[in-house]
Amino acid sequence: MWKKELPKSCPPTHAIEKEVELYRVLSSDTPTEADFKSYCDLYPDNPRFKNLCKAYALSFYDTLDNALLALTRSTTLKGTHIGTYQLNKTHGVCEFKEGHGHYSIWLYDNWDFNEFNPTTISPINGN
Amino acid sequence: MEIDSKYKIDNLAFGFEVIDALDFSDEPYLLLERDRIGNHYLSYLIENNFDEEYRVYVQISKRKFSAIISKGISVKEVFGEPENKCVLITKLSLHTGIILESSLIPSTEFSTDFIPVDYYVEYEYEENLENDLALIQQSINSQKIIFDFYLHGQNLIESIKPYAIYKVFTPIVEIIKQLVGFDNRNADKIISFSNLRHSSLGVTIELNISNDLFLEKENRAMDILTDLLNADKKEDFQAIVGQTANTKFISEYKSIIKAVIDNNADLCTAYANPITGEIKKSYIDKDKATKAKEVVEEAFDFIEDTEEVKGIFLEINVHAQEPAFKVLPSDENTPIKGKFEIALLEKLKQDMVNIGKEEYLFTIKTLYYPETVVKSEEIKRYMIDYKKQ
Repeated sequence: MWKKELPKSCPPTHAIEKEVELYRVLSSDTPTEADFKSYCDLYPDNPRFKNLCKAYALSFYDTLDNALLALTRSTTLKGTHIGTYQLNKTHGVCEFKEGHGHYSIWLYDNWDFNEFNPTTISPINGN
Repeated sequence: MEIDSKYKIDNLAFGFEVIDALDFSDEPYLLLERDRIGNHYLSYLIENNFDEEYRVYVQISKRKFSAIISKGISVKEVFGEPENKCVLITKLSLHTGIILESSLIPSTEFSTDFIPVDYYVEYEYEENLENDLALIQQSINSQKIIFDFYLHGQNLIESIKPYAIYKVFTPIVEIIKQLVGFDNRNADKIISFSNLRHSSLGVTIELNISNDLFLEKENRAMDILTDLLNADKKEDFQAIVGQTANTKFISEYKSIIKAVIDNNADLCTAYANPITGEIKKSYIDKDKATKAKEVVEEAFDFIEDTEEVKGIFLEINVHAQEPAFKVLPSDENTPIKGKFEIALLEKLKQDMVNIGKEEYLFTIKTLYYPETVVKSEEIKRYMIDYKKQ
C-alpha cells in the first residue's frame, strides 16, 4: 500500500487523504527523483530514524512563503526553485502542522514521480 | 561549531533512542529521545552538514513535557532553563547515528539565541505518549513486564458488567498463565494487578516469573499475546500457532472476541518491556473481532467411515464418563482406541467379554476432522458393535 515499508502505527491515524495545492523546495528548475527522497532514503543506515514515522514522509508547505522560510531555517536544504504541486487523494495521506505551514506526506505505492508534475516552478531570488 | 574543550566528555554512552518527532519539517528539528535507563530528553537540531549534525539535549520531566506539548512553554524556554541546569551538545554521524563528540555545558554558559522566541510545539499524541512514558517508567522502576488492559464499551460507562471480568479479563490472565507457564499455586508470587479503573474496565498487570533482569520467557509470552490480540488474518494466526506448544489458549481467546462482538466493545492493550524500554500495543474492536472469529472458528465437514476390524480386546473401561476401549487388530501391531456408542453399553455389561484372548469382529465408526488454522486434525473412533468369532 505504501511506497516504502513503514514502521508500526505509521502513518498516524489522523493523517488523511486531501486535495490541496502544495509547495516543495527543488534543487533545480527540472525536478528529479532525488528531490523526492525522504530522510530515511537519505540516511538508510542511521538506526535513529528506522522507527521514526516522520522520517518516511516527504515535506511540503502550504504557501510559497512558508517554503521559503523552510529554506532560511535549514542549514542543508539547498533549493534553487520552488515547485507548486496539486496533491490529490490518490497520492497518499498527509498531516498538517500550522506553525510552519508544513505537510508531512506518506505516499501510496502507486505514486509515480513521472506522473507527479508541478503546475509551476518558481525560481528563488538569484536563480 | 566551537565548544570550549573543558566541557568535552569522552565516550558518552547514554544510548539515545529517538521516540518521536515533535517537529520534522524536511529535517528532524525537535525530537523526543530516551536514554538506555528510560530518562527522557528533548533534542534540538543546531546545525548539520549532510554528514554530521549537532544537537542540543535537555533532560525533561513528564510535567515539563506536558507543559511544552500544551504550548504552556516555548521550546526556547525549555532549552534556556533546563531542569537539571545543564545541556548536552552532541555531534552525531547522520550516516550511522553514532555520537562522535559530546560536551556537557552548564545552562548558564549556553546561549539559546538560535532558537526562535515564539517557537511552540504542535503535537498530536499527547495523551497516548504520556501514558506510554508512564508505562515504560513503571516497568523500568519495578523491573517487571507491565501489561495494561483497557476495555471500553457503551455498557461499561457507569459500572463494570460481569462479562468484562469473566469473558475478557479472566481469559486474558488465563492466556498469560498458559503462555508463560504457571498455575494458580504460584500466581500470587508471579502476577499482580494495579491501577484499576472502573470507567469502563482498565487494569495493569505486573509480571515477573523469571526473577531475573532478562524476562525472556515473559517477553515471548507477551509478544504472542499482543500478536494474538492484533490478529485478524489467517496468516497472523498461523504465525502465532507456530510459536506455541499447544493451542489451548485459543478457547480463552474465543471468549474474548465473542464478548467484544456481543457488547460492541473495544479492547486496547499495551505492554512495556523494562529491558528495551519499548511499548507494544494491540487493539481489537467489533469489526476486527468478527474477522478474527471467522478464521478461528473455521470448520470443515468431518469425514465418516465405518469399518469391520478383526482382533482382540485389550482394555475396556465402562465406568469412565465416556466408556472407552482399546483393541488390537489381528493384522496390525498398533492398537485402536476409542469410545463405545451409548447403545452398546448394555450389551457390553451383559456379555462376558474376554480380554486379551478371544477374537471378535468389531464394527468401528471413524470420524475424521480436518486440520484448521488453530486446531490440528482429529480422529474420533466409536465402537458400534462387536461379534464373537
